[in-house]
Amino acid sequence: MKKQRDLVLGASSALEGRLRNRVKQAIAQKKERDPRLADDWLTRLEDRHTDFAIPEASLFVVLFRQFENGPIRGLPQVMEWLRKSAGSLRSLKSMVCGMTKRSKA
Amino acid sequence: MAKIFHYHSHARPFDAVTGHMLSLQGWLKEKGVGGEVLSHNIRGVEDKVKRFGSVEVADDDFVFIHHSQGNPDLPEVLASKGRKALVYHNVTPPKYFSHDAYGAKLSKLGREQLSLFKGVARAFYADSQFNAFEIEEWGLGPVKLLPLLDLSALNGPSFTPKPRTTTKRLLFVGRLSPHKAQSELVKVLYYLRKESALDFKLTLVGSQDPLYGRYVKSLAKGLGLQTHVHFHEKVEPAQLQKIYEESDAFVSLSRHEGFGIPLVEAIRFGVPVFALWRTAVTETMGGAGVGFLTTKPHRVAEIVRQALLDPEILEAIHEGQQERWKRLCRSQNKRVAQKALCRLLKIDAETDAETDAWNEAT
Repeated sequence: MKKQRDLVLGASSALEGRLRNRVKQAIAQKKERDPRLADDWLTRLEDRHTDFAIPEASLFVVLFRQFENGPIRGLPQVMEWLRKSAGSLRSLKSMVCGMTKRSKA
Repeated sequence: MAKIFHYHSHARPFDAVTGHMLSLQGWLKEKGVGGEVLSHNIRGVEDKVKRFGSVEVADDDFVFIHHSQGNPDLPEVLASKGRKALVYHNVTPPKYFSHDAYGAKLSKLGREQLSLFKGVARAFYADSQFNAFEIEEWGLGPVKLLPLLDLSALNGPSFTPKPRTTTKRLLFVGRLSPHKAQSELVKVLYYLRKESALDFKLTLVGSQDPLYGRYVKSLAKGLGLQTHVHFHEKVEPAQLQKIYEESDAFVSLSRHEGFGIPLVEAIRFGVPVFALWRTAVTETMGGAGVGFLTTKPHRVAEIVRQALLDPEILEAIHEGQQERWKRLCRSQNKRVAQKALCRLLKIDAETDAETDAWNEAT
């Protein structure tokens, strides 16, 4: 199956080919070093979410879920719940775990 | 002589539709055609825009209704005095407002309200072919294109090669909102900074959707990029020009654009444009710059990095954008608008070969 092109450089087809090859080679080299390349940013977030203060983390988890995994039904109610219960470590942990599972799915 | 009034539901400074209405008013004034800019919700431009209903409109005057979102006052405007024309600026689809019930409602309403123009509007205009196709799908037309900008008096792009520095500044201009996908640009920056000797920075200029704005900031923090992503909510034109001139690349992964004025600004200021070819972006860029056919951040990052490191590719991008600027100047020209609107008013317009160049140029 023919691979889909990643880019178009309308000004020059020769240079477009050159750019495409360089991109392809660079990505192949990086993937060789780290096969998780494409998901790397997500791994980074999962490693670092403890850097956030608790209320901030709760909000981030909800926003992450909304904008990366698809819409949350009843987002306004979730936001209201967050406003009232921010600081609950147990609920935060369960939400983080839920987010992580869904993100990796 | 009949006048041409312009109406939009709201009027704000730095708003593209407000800017378009004021430009059209000025261009028509040069041809001796009077008329005011009207709105129901005016903030920050009270000296230039009058409240709808406060100005006398005659039956043979035209009211150009600029449409970009749902407007609960539209039935009142359509039922008021004067012949009506629609100027379609695109309504962002409701799917991009899943986090904002009010925004989703206005978006849905905005699209449904297009049917109200059927049999009422005497003329139909759009600011891009993409927008023209959208309203034709609603059974409206024939649709004519109307320039958004007058580039004829502006200096063209000057390409002074930037000094070789280890800092590379990426720029995107547009409201922080899900369909503009600034969160994807933060991920692109993450990949660019990873394993690179170059110091990549990202500047995001634009007002902010409250929730999405918080998300983009949180994401930048989560990825350890908080000191490398710079947010500017409101900037004056002179400051914006400076930001463009200091940028090494304009990068866009926007999923929905009705025209994309910042793309034209980037071309004007000699900034290489890297943009996802979706909706009206393809048309506005006209083959210039680098078009992304992928939205994967690590791939986009590599395309930007490889292009910025290759002087020959950068030169080709500059040449392509220079050519595009020349074609844009022929279509985004006040004389094109003056001729079209004077024709509508059955005024003999000056013959100007340049004004017929729209189709050729786009």
